[in-house]
Amino acid sequence: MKADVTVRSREEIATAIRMLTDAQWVRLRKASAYFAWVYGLDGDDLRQEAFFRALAGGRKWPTNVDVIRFLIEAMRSIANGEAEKAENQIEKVSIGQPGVSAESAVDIKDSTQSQEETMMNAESDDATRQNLLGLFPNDPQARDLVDGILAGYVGEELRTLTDLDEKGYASKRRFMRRTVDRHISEAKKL
Amino acid sequence: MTSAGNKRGEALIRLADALIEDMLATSDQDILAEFTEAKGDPAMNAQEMRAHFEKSVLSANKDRLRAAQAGLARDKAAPSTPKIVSMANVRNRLKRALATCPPGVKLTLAARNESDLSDSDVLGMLQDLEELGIVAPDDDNGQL
Repeated sequence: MKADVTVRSREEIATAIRMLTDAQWVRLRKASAYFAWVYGLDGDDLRQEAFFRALAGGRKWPTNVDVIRFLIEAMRSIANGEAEKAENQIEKVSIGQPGVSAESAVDIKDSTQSQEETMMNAESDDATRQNLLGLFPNDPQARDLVDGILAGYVGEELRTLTDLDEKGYASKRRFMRRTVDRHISEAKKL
Repeated sequence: MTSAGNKRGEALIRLADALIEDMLATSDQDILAEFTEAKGDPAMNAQEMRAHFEKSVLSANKDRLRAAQAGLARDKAAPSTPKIVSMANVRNRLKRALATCPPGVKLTLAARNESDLSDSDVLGMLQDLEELGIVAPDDDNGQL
């Protein structure tokens, strides 16, 4: 059973967003760019939609959650929803095509992947991984860090993977993030 | 992209999550310095983003207005539910109202003798008196 949570009103949400600091706006922009990069969306649109849903009441903001965390989670949810929609989109086939019967005019795409799609994704996975690792040609620790994150390592096991002390690890993570930021920025606005 | 069958999506989402956590853990001072170095003036960025936000506010307000208008249209279109009223109660209310009616209020002789009035006239007169503020509106209006 879920505990009761107090949520902020529309006016409180608007006031909190209007009062965001310059640093908070930068964080919001970066977060939207990360999701936009991963999900192939537009960062500006993602933020706008998150604002809209928060103000329209489609997304509730519990009073115990930080405003930036709340907006980041809203963007994550929207991006994830868009990806789900794209996966299950209806593929339309022109009715007038020779050899295509009227019964096949609309086909709901199966969400399970075909063998061909799986192979294509595997190639794409590897290309993405190689692209990211290629950002750190002379830095094996940064490469291990990226590879570890992609593989699902977290926390201490990730630090152990890089063989760095806590200070060195924090510094390497920051360097990795800034390098990936620049990489994303070349393709999208960050 | 995010289905269980698509590991590329999951791996990139993990990376995005790690980047976000790292970004949130970075101090304001450092995050502003990074932005200044890579993009320019953070204050200008904030100004642009606030302008975008105000567009969302406008859009959400328009959406609320449309929803309210749609609700109003639905109410108008909905058939009104007929009320069943007790005429005895209504006549008693009118009687009480007439008995306590201020002398300044001019009423026809027929009105003063409510027993001669039809049910329709009684209801109409009570409604008129309510609208004039002479009789306090009654929510149930003699409803059964």
